[in-house]
Amino acid sequence: MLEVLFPNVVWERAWEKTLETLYMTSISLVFIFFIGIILGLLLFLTSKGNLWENRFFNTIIASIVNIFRSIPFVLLIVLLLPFTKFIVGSIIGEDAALPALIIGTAPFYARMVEIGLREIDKGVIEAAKAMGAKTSTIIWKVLLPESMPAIISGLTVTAIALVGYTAIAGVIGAGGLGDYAYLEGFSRNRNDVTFFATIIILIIVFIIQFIGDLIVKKLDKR
Amino acid sequence: MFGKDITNLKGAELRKTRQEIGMIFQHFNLLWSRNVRENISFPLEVAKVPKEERKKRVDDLIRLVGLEGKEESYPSQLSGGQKQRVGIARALANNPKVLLCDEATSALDPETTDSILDLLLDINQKFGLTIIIITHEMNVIRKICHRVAVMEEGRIVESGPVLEVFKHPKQPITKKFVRQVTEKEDARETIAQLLEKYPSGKIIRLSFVGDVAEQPVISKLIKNSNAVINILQGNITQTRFGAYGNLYLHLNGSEEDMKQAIRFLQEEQVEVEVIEHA
Repeated sequence: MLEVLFPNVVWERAWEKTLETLYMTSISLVFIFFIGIILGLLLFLTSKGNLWENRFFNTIIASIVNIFRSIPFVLLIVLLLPFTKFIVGSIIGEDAALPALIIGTAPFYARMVEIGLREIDKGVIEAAKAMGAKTSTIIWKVLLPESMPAIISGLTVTAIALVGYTAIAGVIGAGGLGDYAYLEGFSRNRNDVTFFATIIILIIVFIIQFIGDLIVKKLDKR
Repeated sequence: MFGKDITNLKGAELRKTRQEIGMIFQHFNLLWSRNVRENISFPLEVAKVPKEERKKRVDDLIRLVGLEGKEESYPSQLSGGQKQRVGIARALANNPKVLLCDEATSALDPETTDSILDLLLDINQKFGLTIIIITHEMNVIRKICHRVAVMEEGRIVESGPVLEVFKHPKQPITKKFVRQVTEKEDARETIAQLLEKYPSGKIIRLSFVGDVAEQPVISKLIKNSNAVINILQGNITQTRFGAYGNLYLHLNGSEEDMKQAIRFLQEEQVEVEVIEHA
């Protein structure tokens, strides 16, 4: 049945490409998680009326975040090529896609973390301060736990966007399902391969969404 | 506070001092991501109390505020009164020297307010803990406070023992507040109407304080006076240090009889005020 629908799909090849996509997505997601939380915390804490209020610093971080969020991803990959060569030592393959994926997506995630932190009731932070809590205690025991559902649902959205970005990166030499769909499917006029790659990407996206929702539901005690 | 000016404290010293002040809030400000036990444990974690001790202390506090069986519940599963109990337990966790209540009952219904006030009173008596209550509800003050200070535009304009201030409010703002508990809202209208209706005779207001409020003064007055006495309206307010009441009477009769009645009341230690206009 499957052979009839997808005559040109080689299963081992498709599986290999799926693993490449999963590899790029998961490795960059780990980096994005930490970088995004740190940037998001900085954006939140330095903003007006918060613990480290500092307009200068806030403007700088916000500008950096906005710039990297605004550059179209395809262009970002190209612009980062010298940097990628310097860090990874190559401009082709899955590892070479990581710098662009991380730099392109972390600022987006940082904004989501910031939004999540803003939703925390100011009174709770006030209460922690009134108990004599240090800023580090407030970050670890109040800010992060209280915004965890938002942090995780933001990560879900980011991960899904990331899967899309790996496909774009794949087209210009990074491997993965994007590469498979474009080079072995579209370029060789094998539409079944393109279509098959698309289905797998959709399945990955659904699974990510499902896991994300499950974790948020578990965490959210409101 | 405790002989220190806390407005000048900074950093570690300020944090240390803050641990000596328990605080509860109008909107409870509990961490929704933590259950009751973990919420109460939070200030102990801040104060770096060892885990074993923390557990013991939290158990004691849960018993004190009457939340047994709710240890594992999250704030979203609790009622307003229960949330405030968690707030109180949390504020008491580090054995503070003073408990600061910022409009602690303003978000609660009257019945829950009463139960929270009883709890505060209980804590006050059991531990001899000073409690400072910030409120606009006169009933709260009446029920549990010893002393009261009235603030206007950020400054204290009047202060003293509760009964004293309620009986003789000096500042206009205090009078306005005190009227909330001592006079029904329609009292003034009623008096205005009565003044119109009975041009003859006098309307007088009697103020009773402490023991006098519980004496049968009116009964004595009726026996001792020839004036015709009609009771218009009255109320009695219970404070921590005795009752405090107002009574409006309509007197009629000869000028001499009325004067004699008023004199009798004054001899009975009742404050009398003749009302000419409302």
